[in-house]
Amino acid sequence: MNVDKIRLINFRNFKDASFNFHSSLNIFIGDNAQGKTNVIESIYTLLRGNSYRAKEDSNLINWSEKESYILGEVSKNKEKFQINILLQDIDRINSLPKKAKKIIKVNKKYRQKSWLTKRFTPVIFTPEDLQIIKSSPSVRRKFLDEVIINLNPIYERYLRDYSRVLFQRNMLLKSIESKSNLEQHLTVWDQKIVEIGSMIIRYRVKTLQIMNQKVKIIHQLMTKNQEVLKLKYNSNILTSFSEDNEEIGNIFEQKLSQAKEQDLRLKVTTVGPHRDDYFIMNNLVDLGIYGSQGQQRTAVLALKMAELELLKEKDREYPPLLLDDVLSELDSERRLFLMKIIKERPLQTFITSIDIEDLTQYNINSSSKIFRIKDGTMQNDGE
Amino acid sequence: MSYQYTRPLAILIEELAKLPGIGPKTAQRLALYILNISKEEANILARSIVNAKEKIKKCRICYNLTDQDVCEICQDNARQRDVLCVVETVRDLMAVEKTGGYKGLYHVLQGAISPLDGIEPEHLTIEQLISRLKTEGIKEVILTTNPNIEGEVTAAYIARLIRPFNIKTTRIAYGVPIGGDLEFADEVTLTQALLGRQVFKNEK
Ligand SMILES: Nc1ncnc2c1ncn2[C@@H]1O[C@H](COP(=O)(O)OP(=O)(O)O)[C@@H](O)[C@H]1O
Ligand SMILES: [Mg+2]
Ligand SMILES: [Zn+2]
Repeated sequence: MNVDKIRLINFRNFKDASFNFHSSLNIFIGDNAQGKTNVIESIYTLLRGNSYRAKEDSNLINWSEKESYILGEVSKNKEKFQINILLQDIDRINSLPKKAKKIIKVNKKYRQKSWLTKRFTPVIFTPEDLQIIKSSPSVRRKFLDEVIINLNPIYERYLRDYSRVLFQRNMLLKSIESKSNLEQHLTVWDQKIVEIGSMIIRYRVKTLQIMNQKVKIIHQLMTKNQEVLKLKYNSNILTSFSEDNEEIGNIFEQKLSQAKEQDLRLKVTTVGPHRDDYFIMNNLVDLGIYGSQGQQRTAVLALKMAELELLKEKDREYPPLLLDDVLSELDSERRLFLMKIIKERPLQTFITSIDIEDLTQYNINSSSKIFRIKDGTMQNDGE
Repeated sequence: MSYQYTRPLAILIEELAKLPGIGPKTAQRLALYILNISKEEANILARSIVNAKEKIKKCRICYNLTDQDVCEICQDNARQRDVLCVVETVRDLMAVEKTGGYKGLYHVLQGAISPLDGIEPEHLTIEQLISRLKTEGIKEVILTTNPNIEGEVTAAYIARLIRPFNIKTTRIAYGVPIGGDLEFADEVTLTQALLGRQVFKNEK
């Protein structure tokens, strides 16, 4: 899959800029705060219908304007898509930015955001992704769940259903405090939470298994076979992992009834996949606790590259890879391996860097295009 | 101070705005419209509201809306009287009726189990459903609650209560738009869902 062109009008600090992208490597060079990340963000927004970092759509519109356009051409499996996104916040001049109106058109037809997210699944890596290793279980769950959704869109519904059941069960736990006869009605919610929760656990365990195969290969490449990276699901319900839904269900049911007193006291559901986590282990030690910054970074990169490989197997072609400020964070050897991995694959990559010296040593000239970004404008080395 | 509507008009707007789907702007537009129609028309409108409210009640048997003691569907002897379609609301009943493919009787639950809204099984007509099963010689119950979590849980709850009766219990198959309400399912998918219903899988 490729992003062939993009035109940004009043997007962040770009007044009007057009990019014709290379099908292989695209490099954005510029000093700090010139707009390199903004370009990465615009490509992501074109493909997903929203930004990965803005809290509100209206943040994407240039400060002194009321509307912004992202116009792009994308090709996937030989099919062309003309995507136009309009963001509009007509009241912003006289007031604080509010929720912007968003219009998405694909090949001139109005579409929902979900139309895009079901088809286009770019893989993005930014410095903040280090949080996947360093931060709380919820960040790790979110990453894994998003990988699963990209591979199996139906999983999003299971997640939504699960959080609804969880919410309703917690509501019931709260009402039981004042009306104890309601306790008998827990059974039917328990049944449902077990049914959906088991499915979620199974998807996660299974996806970690297939990710592990990819992660291992890529990580070994990047560490010259010195280190072995492994993901291990850490469930508050299960100790060993069978793939059998029914067995997971039986254990979940058991744990739920053991936790009943506690749940009633705390008025929340204390067991289930909403409390699960996974270990990211390097040579069998937990990277989140013992890993160096460099090891953690390499590991996250390996996770993202594994996602990329899985998406490629699903779609029979690579999704675009967006790398923001990644090079500066890796040592020269790992940088070299990353560039090699990228070059060897039929893969469109977008990468930002402060200076070009960094990149020339990887002799990428023949299959790359360099864009110099300065204060919301772009100069193209080639054209 | 800004200009305020004269009191009777303000009250009318306020009352209209309480209706579902009607915001303050629409309420204002409707109120001004009503002031413009003839006194006679206004009377017809007012009376039709009062009339409907006074005459229409719930069917003693199935809880459908009716102006009699027992609704037309329950009175209709041409219908298959040993099949019950269990729905959440009268609107869902209408949606199933519109498919034209169903010829049995109904039971309207008056909602679905939802702790969030304080709705527990006792608030629904589940008890009445069970007593119908005891007396009416029902051979099949089709659980046509909405295909969302609350509907699923309500269906599971009822299925468990029905189990001792040895009555065939089916759940409409997921042909209906996922996560949606029956009301929004188009007739074709709903008909397919009714045809493709599956025997309810009960836990051990
Ligand atoms: N909505 C906006 N309107 C105008 N300028 C913006 C907007 N949002 C961010 N900027 C500007 O964009 C610049 C940051 O761009 P960014 O792409 O993050 O820089 P970098 O090149 O370091 O990646 C800053 O100068 C910031 O002021
Ligand atoms: Mg940046
Ligand atoms: Zn009736």
